[in-house]
This record gives sequence, C-alpha cells and structure tokens, in this order.
Amino acid sequence: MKIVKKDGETIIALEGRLDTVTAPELANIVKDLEFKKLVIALEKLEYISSAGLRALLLCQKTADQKEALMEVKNPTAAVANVMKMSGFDKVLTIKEE
Amino acid sequence: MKEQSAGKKFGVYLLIGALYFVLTLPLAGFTFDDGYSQIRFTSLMPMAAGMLFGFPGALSCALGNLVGDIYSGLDIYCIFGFLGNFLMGWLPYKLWHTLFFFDNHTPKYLETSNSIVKFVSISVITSCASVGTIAAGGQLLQGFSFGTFFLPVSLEYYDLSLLGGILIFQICLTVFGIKPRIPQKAYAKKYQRRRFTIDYILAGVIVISSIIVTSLTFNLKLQDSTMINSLCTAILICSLVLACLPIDRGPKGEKVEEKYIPVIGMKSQFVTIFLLILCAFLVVFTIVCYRILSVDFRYFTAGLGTDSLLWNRIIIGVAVAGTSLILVLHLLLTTIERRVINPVEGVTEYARQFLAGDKIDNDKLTILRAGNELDDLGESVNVMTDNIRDFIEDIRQRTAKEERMAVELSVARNIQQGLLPEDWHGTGFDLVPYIKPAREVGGDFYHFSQLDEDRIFICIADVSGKDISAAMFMVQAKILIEANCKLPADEMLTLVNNTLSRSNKAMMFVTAFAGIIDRKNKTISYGNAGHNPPICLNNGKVCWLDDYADFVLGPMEGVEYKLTTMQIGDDFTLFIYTDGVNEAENKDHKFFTDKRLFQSVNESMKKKCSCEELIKQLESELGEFTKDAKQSDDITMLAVKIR
Repeated sequence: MKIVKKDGETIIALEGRLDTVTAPELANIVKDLEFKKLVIALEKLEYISSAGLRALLLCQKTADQKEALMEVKNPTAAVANVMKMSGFDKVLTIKEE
Repeated sequence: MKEQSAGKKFGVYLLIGALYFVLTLPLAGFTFDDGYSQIRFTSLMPMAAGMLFGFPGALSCALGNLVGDIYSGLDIYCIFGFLGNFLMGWLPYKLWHTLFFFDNHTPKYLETSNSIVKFVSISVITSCASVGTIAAGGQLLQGFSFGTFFLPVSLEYYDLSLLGGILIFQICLTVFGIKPRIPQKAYAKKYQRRRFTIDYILAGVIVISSIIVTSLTFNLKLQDSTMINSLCTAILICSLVLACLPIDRGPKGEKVEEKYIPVIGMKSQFVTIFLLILCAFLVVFTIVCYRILSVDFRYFTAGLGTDSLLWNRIIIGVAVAGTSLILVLHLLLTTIERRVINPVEGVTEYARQFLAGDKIDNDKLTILRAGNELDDLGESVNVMTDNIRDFIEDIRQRTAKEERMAVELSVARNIQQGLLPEDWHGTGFDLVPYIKPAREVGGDFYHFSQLDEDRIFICIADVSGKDISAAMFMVQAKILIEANCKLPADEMLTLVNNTLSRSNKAMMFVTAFAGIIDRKNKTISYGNAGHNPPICLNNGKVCWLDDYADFVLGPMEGVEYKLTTMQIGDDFTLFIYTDGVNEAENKDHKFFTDKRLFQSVNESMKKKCSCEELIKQLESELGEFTKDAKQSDDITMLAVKIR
C-alpha cells in the first residue's frame, strides 16, 4: 500500500489482495489521514473480497464525515466485475483513465 | 569376555610392575650415606596405582621394587622394602575410602580443594608408615640408622606424590577415563566417624614416632637404645595394624551400592589446572635448586657425603616449597569454589531441574553471594523462570479460555444452523440446500419456504466477513428476510435494507439473491442485492442470470431495488450459491473460478440431473479442487427445480 499526496489529493495505491487480512489496515489508515480528496488507485489490485468492499465503504464513510471527496480509480477487470456484481459501481465514484 | 578382561587386567598390573622397576634405575648408582637408600622415581607411582587398582596395584608396585632391589643387591632388608612399597600403594587406597570425609561418605576423587588436602594428608601418613616400616626394619636389625634412611626417602615419597603422583592419578581419571576400583564394602555400611578414630590414632602415632626417632637418630651413628627400638617396633606394628584393619566398619545401612561418578566438570578442571601448575613449579624448582646447590657445593665443600647432603637439601627444599604452594593453591581454589564454581553449579543444577519440570512451582534459585557477575546471573535466572512461569500460567488460562470459547461457539453454531430451514419436504418442486461454514459460525445463509401450492420463495445471502459479528448480522438479516418473504422481492429487499441500515455503524453488509418461482404462471420474479449471479436452465438453455445487480443490503438507507420477472419453461432449474464456491481456493491459492463453476453446473443441468445429483457433483469437484487447502470462506449452494 503506497500513499502519495499530490496537489491536494491523497492517493492510496493498493496492490495484490484486499481481503479479511489487509482490509482493516486500509480502513484504519484512511481514518487517521487528513485530506480534501481521496483517490484509491486499483490498477494493481488483483482481488477484492467482501471484507475489502466493506473497507471501501468505511473509507467512503470517513470521507463523508470529513466532508471530503473520494473516488476509486482504474479497477482491474476482476475488481470491476466484483464491483458491478455487488452494485458498488452505483455507490462509489469510479473513474477510468 | 571375562577371561579377556582378566588378561587385560593382568597386563596392566604387569605394566605397573615393569614401570616401577624401570623407575628404580635412573639414579641407581647413587646411594645416601647409610648405603641403603637411593633416589628412586618410583614414588611417582604407588599412590596412583593403589588408588586406581587397589590391592593388585599395590602388589605390582611392591614386586617391581623387589626386582629393583634384586638388581641392586638382595639382602634381608628387602623384605621390609617389599612390605614398605606395598604399603605405599595399599594405604592410599584404603585410607582414601575410610578417612577424611568432609561431607558425605561417597566415593569422590579430586574435585574440591578439600580433596587435595585429603590427598596430601594421606600422602604424609603413607610416607611415614611405609618408609617408617623399612627404616624401622633397618634400625631393629641394626642394618642402618632410622633417621638417615627415613628423612630423605619419606620426603622423596612426599615430594614425588605432590609433584607427580597426584597429577598422574587425576590424568588417569579425567583424560584416560580409567574407572578406579572402589571398595563397595566400605560404602555398603552406614559410615560412623567414631568407628574410625582408631585409624586416626594409629596414623598420629606413626607420624609422631617417625619424627621423634628421626630427630634422635639423624646424623648420628647407628645406635642401639631401648627407646629407639621400642618406638621403631611401634611404628612397624602400627603401620601393619593400620593396613590390616577392616575397611568396612559400622552398622548395616540401607545404603544402595555406590556408583562411580566420572570426574568431570568445572571443579575437576580447576583441580587439574592447579595440579599442573604445582607439577611445573616443583619441576622447575628442583632443577634450579640442583643447579645452584651443586655449583655451591663444588666450591665450598669437598669429600664424602657431599652428594648426599646436596640431595637431602633439595628434597627438603621441594617438600617445603610444595607444601607451601599447596596451601596457597588450596586457599585460591577455595575462593574460586566459593565465588565461581559453586554459584555456577547452583545455577546449572537449578536450570537442569527446571528443564526437567521439577521446579515449575514457586521455588527460587538461591546461591550464596559471589560478589561478581554471577549474582546478576542468579537474579536473571530467577526473573526468567518467573517469566516462564507466568507465560505457562498465561498459556494455561488462554487455553482454558479458548476451550470455553470453542464450546460457546459450537453452541452459537448450533443456534445459527438451527435458523436455517430443514430439508425440503414441500410439493411441486425439487430443492436441495448445502452449507459448509469455514469457521464455527459463518455469514452465509439461505432460506426457502413454500408460499402456496405453486409458489416457492428462495433466497441466498452472504454477510461480509465470517466472524462472530458477521454471524450476528446474519441472524438479523435472516429474520428480516424470513418475516417479509411473502412480499415481492423488490419490496422485501428495500424493507430489509432500510431496517438494517438504520443501525449499522460498522458498515457491515449482506449480499442477497431472493425470488419467487411460480410454476402455475411459469414465472420467476427476483431481485439481486449485489449477490453473485445465479445459473439457470430455461427451455433447454443454461445461462447466467447476470443482467444487472443492485447495491448490497445494509450500508445505505433508501436504495431502490429492482424486480425482474422472467418467463420460464417446464424444465426450469435454478442454481444459487455464494462466493465461497467460485472463489474456493486450492493450496496454491488459485480460485475455482466462475468458468469452472458454470461448466460443472451446465453439464449437470444438460444431463437433466436431479438437484441432489447437481449439488453432489459440484461438492465432489470442489472437494477435489481444494484438497489439502484450508477452507477460506463459507460454501453455500442451493438448487431448485420445477417438478
């Protein structure tokens, strides 16, 4: 997990798997971050489990509380598929570049 | 086998005798003033030989000496020589196992500073008794003066015992690992010190008489006085009595046979080092004395008796130096024992017992203050063992707690499983459910209920996570769905979502597929809240029902759910499942995949298998795939078919 701050954006790049083991870390980190806009980059995320989806929801909730924006960027095919299947694409702001 | 070892023993005794004889040779040409006593290096051997091999060892020495005497001229005094040399080996063996026990009466050798004192004491008594015997013989038969023989020879024996005898013995035990002969008889009985008082008295008489007679007869011509003769007789008799007194005295004890404990460890290593220092020092001292004194003697004196005087002085000098050094070393060794060896042994023994589990309770290590790092070591050991005890107790409590948890979880599991409907017994449909939680409690569930003769409600759901919180959320969701199952799927999902999201700070969610199959009107109407798409057989065609999916249930209030109604044929079969199926992992962490899932279901459906066969087929394929891997997620499936 890499965190970069750039032009008022906080970018978190995820790699590998976001599952029961790794998901709580993401939620906790985001909770403690200060940001106006949070971008979660998923180019290198191979797999997301339901716990991972929940972590994204928690991030969104955190962002809402901080009155900040959050977007999910460039999910891989597998991850995009899961998001579509679970209806997350309707709730999260997903951007493709 | 026995004969061979007997032969081997005999060989050893023969070797001792031969060596003894050889050692009489180097300075055989020189005799002291009396014409009888010689400088013989033999005294290096008898103490070691006697203490190692007992009676036969002593006898070998005596015989070796006899051969030496024959070689240099046999006479009547050789009888006393034989007797004396035998005592040189026999007395150390006997006295070692009967006298001077400072603590326990056990067969121990040179391991402590006290044992060195014991060795020196025994060597003094032996030298007086054995050399005294020979000298007394010479005096009584008027062959030579007691004093002129006794002084150089007894001191020579004493010198060589300190210089080499003690070291040879120690090396035989520690380096060559020779197992010394132990008189089991002496240890079989309860040891009472008072029963051996007579030995101490005899030894005292021998030593004191020897000194008195020596002072009376040294440097004097051979004289024949009643007093001297009677004292000589006393020495002779006392020595023989001392040698002959039984070795086993005292009441019969319940003592078991004492086993020989090999001389190893730090104590004996220190003793060996000190003995080496002693030996090296005395050898150098002797050589230096000889060089210096021989030059002096050549300049200042001349004539007969010079060499005799020279050697007497050297022997006396070595005896004094040796004794002094022994005293110093004893002091040093005692200090080291108290400050290093004993604390280390204490710690080692404590650690050994702790390891063996003997000291798991509250016993603390206690060692006398050493005034150095070892005190810290002792304290550290105590802290460490305390910690280990705490850890053990902690683990014990945790294990007990875990066991309690496991029992509670199994109760929870029973409750959770009890929430799921029993096997299908309804009419008009064939229905088979399957669930296999990854842990004791899980987040997956299914529900079905026959609404009327032609309609059936089916639902499958998966709560995010598979721990206790998931299980609790599952129960809530399950009850809500069950209570509202008669509503159309879209209304039911909306209602359930709104209820769940009202109190869901943790952002738990549940994905669900729910629908009602109507076999009379040939329709299925369903809603999908973010759940895996089902697979169905409809009019001979197998396909995914993946046209769309709404958002999951739980995190967000006010989500609208869509209802889809589809016309179905007579062959309609529906297969619903959770992601534990397509994402089942094998031991290489590869997924089962949608593709494989579809293949399997497709095959079964095309073959018009029953629901039970379909589930069985998939179960066996999953089992084969996940062989040797830990189940990563709950596996739940449900197949339903119109009859």
